[in-house]
Amino acid sequence: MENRFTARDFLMMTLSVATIVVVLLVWVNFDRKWDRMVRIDENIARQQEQISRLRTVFETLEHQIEEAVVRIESIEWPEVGTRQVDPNGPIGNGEARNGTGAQTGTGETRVEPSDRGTRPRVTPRQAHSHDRLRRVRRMEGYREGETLTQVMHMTVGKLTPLVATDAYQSEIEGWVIESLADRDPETLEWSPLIAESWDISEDGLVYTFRMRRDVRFSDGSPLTARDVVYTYDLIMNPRIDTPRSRSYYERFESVTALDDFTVEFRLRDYYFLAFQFAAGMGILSEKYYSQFTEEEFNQSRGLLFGSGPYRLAVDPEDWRPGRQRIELVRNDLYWGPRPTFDRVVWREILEDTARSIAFTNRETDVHAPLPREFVRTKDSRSVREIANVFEFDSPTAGYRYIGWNFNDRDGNPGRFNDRRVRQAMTMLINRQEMADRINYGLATVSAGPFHFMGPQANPDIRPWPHDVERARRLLEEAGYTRGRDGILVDAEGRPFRFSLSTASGSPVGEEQALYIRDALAQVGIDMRVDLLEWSTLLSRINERNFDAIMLGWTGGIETDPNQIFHSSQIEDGGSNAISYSNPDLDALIEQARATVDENERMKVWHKVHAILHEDQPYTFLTHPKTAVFINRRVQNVEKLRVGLTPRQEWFIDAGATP
Amino acid sequence: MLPYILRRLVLMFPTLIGVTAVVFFTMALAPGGFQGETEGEAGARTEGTDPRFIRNYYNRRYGLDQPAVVQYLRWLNLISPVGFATSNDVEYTPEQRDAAQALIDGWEPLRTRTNRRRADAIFTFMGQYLDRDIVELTEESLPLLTDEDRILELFDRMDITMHRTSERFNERRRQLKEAEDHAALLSFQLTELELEAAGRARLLLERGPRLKWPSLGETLGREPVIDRIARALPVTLLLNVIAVPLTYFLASISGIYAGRRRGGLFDRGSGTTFIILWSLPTVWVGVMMISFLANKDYLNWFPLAGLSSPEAADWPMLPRWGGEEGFVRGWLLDRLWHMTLPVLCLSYGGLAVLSKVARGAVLENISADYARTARAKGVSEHDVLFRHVLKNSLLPLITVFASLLPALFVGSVVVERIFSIPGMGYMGIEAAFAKDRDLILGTTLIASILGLSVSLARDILYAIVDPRVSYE
Repeated sequence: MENRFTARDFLMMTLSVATIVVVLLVWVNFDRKWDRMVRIDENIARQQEQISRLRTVFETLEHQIEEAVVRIESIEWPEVGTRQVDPNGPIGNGEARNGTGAQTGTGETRVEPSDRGTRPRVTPRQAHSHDRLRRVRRMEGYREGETLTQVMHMTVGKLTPLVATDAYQSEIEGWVIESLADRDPETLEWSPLIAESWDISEDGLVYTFRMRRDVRFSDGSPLTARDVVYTYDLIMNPRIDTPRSRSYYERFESVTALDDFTVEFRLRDYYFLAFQFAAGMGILSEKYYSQFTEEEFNQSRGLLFGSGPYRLAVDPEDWRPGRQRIELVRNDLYWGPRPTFDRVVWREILEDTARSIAFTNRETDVHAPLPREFVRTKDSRSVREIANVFEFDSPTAGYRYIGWNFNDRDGNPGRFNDRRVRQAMTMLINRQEMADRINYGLATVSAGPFHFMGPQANPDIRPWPHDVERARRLLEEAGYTRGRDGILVDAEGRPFRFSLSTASGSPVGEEQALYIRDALAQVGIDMRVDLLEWSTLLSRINERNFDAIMLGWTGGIETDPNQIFHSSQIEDGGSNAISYSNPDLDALIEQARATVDENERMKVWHKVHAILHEDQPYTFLTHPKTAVFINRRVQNVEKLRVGLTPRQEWFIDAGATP
Repeated sequence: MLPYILRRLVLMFPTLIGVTAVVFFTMALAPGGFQGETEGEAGARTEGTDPRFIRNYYNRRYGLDQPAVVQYLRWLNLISPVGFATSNDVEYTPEQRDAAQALIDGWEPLRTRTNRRRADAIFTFMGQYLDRDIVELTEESLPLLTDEDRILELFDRMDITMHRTSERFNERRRQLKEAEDHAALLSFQLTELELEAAGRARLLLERGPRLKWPSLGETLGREPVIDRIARALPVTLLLNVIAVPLTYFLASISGIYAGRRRGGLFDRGSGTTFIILWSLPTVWVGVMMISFLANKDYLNWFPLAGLSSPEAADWPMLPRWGGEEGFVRGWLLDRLWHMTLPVLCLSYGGLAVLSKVARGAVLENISADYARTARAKGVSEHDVLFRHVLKNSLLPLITVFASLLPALFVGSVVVERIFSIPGMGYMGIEAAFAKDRDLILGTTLIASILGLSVSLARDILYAIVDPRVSYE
């Protein structure tokens, strides 16, 4: 047990000390290099800053020159206006014509740079999507810079457009990739973005977009009609994993570049949403994306590259998921007005509590609380102090419903094949109370598949009332009588029993189902609640193996009820899972889908709405409301018709930081 | 010893097959099977996307509509280092390549920059659908394709095995047939076949098994499973490499001291504390930690989420003082700071079990005959404990360690979720919800390989630590 300090021990000690010292020295040296790199980085950033400041100066100059030229033009050639600009929205609308007509009348004009050198042609200008941004820049207190921090509640594994499926990806893509036109958030009309103007043929089958010549991708290369065609080809290429987008663009017969800056979309048959697909297609750069093979494109993670005001902070090819944040930076070569924020960041916070603490910690600027949390905290001091609270209905909100299976489980007409029964079911459920108590007031009772703020909804239709007496009478008419045990029995003596299937895992959904069970029990209907895991529920729906389902559909400004209510969608696992079939409705839906004129089409949709209201194939429960907290330092956030002011129009006043 | 190890290693294979088979068939035979999540997020479905279109696509892409047994056997073939080649990974001789190339050049309408790859692909699935050897087919089809009537004949032969679903494809084919544009028709049809072939390439059984690179397949997001795991594993490892030794260290020390003075104040105090800690659910503790320790309204001592600060990338490695910015944490310290709460959360629960195990072992040995003999010989109490008793008390701790280690790789679902750390636990739960077949099987496989190797390592360690244990 003797421990003698030998020469060997000494050597070992010296060696280990030496190793530690070397490691430390390497470390220190590495840090010194790091410092140097940081300084170089700072220098580059400073230079970039200067360059972009110069760009702003040039932009202003350019603008002034343009204005001057226009003024001169209007003196010398007062009646020139050779090119016909169709100021008309895509879904040609009388109102739009008047609206934009008025704007053209204000005499805003612009010179097409392409015609420089020849006699400049002056064209009346349609309200451009950037006009809104320019207006923001002139607002009092407008400030450039800062970082807008948002939050994601899941990991985004893929940013590559077309092949990514995450919801947040499309939000992020909206900052980076642009389309030919976008919807004005106030008027809901289409306003040109990359396009300058467009024509729609009389039959609505051909859209011709004339594009701006000054649009550039974030690497400086120009965006031309060839890029539009390339994007379309990419979507239609069956080797690209984008079945979802492909199902939209299948309706087009061809997309061709007529010249460098004119592109023509040709439809096979008229479809009312086709303009939206054409104008809203995010345009990808041929030069950039054609470096990759189809397989590389499919497997890529972060190939997000476009002409938008922001770009990925890292080289898209180096982007990897799992970094807990996604960061965009200002695209200094942006062709439009200089983007506001230095950076736009999405932080990944998976836990509900952590997300709300991150917001009250001022670590994030935007927070979408859960309904329960919203009601509990919206008036709390910690939220009131730092946040503006928004609570609103949006026409794109979608709706929750109960779908009544018209057939029984063997495929024969079942009890819900009787319209009176369905109406009775709707009237038995107090949807207002459900919205108030279960959804914490963050829902509005629904009158049909079209949102009451959208153009498709028939303004004369009110939601069915909560009227138990009337429901009782309807059930009696339908042959139901009260049995001995208090449960309703039909004419053949079978008790009124069914189960309501809905997705498990959502406390709100479960509470709603239980509420409905109680409401129906009061008149003697025995409903069982059947909570199913999501994929099980979907397979039950596909097999038509349910009595009633409670689920939701997402919405849009103008939606197509064909998929859900047309009888052609019953077979082969289509979305008309309840096997609802009404020839009148089928005819109306087909008519609406083929109607080019927007006003006319809306009239048909109103009729569709009326039939759906009367038939009640679904009991339309509620439209969800949006609830959001936004830090007070974020300015220019207002409630518009489709929701809040687009985030690209926000700016941050660091001085207002609470 | 060696025969024993070999025997154990051989026995691992049936066990692995058993484990993955149970996982696979439980998922595949559950209602909904593997097809659920492809249709959209839970609770709401998106209007405008026809679920049929997407369902068909995924079925074709991943072969999800094949019988479960077939899917599982294909997966086994995929991961096995010895297996059958599929018609997708046939290699061509330069002559075959050129022949195919010549064919492709004849079909103008293929808009592509990658004709060469395409030539490969086309012959791959032609062979697969015609159930013929590719080499044979290449030689045979060249003359065949020169005659237009024969082209159509070839189509008919393909049609027999084809499972056509997409309306658009059918319509387009009809148009081309009417227009008698044979070249376009052929290329179109081939494209369609290729799409269908991706998930169900034919196994070249007639060529016999051979050595190949094992693969874990692809996730639903088209990422190789191995890459996905390689991304998540280091994160989980990092957390556990700190948490596990920490737990062990604290638990053994307190266990030894508690055991030495049984019934003393320290024994009772530490026992009670650890039992209380053990009975606190991690979910609750984690949420409490971020609510109070990472909240500006209370104590803002720790960061909320993630593994490093956004600015950390611009920081030097080591902390430093002075300069313009004053104190800078540095990357290393920042990382440790971010890991404090998750590591605490991961380790506190294990303290109770481990310290009780250590205490029990020490108690048992400290009153053993050999310890008494040592004391009788005049060995100091300190030496009895640390030289004799401790060594013999290691055995149960090793046992516990072996059962702990797999958890180290699989990660903690709860902790990773609460602190937004993208590790194995979170990945596993995501995969299970998304019904991502290959990812689930890949993770299961890796976890069970680890579990089995650790239990083997444990048994070997027994033999090393305790000479009485032998496997001869």
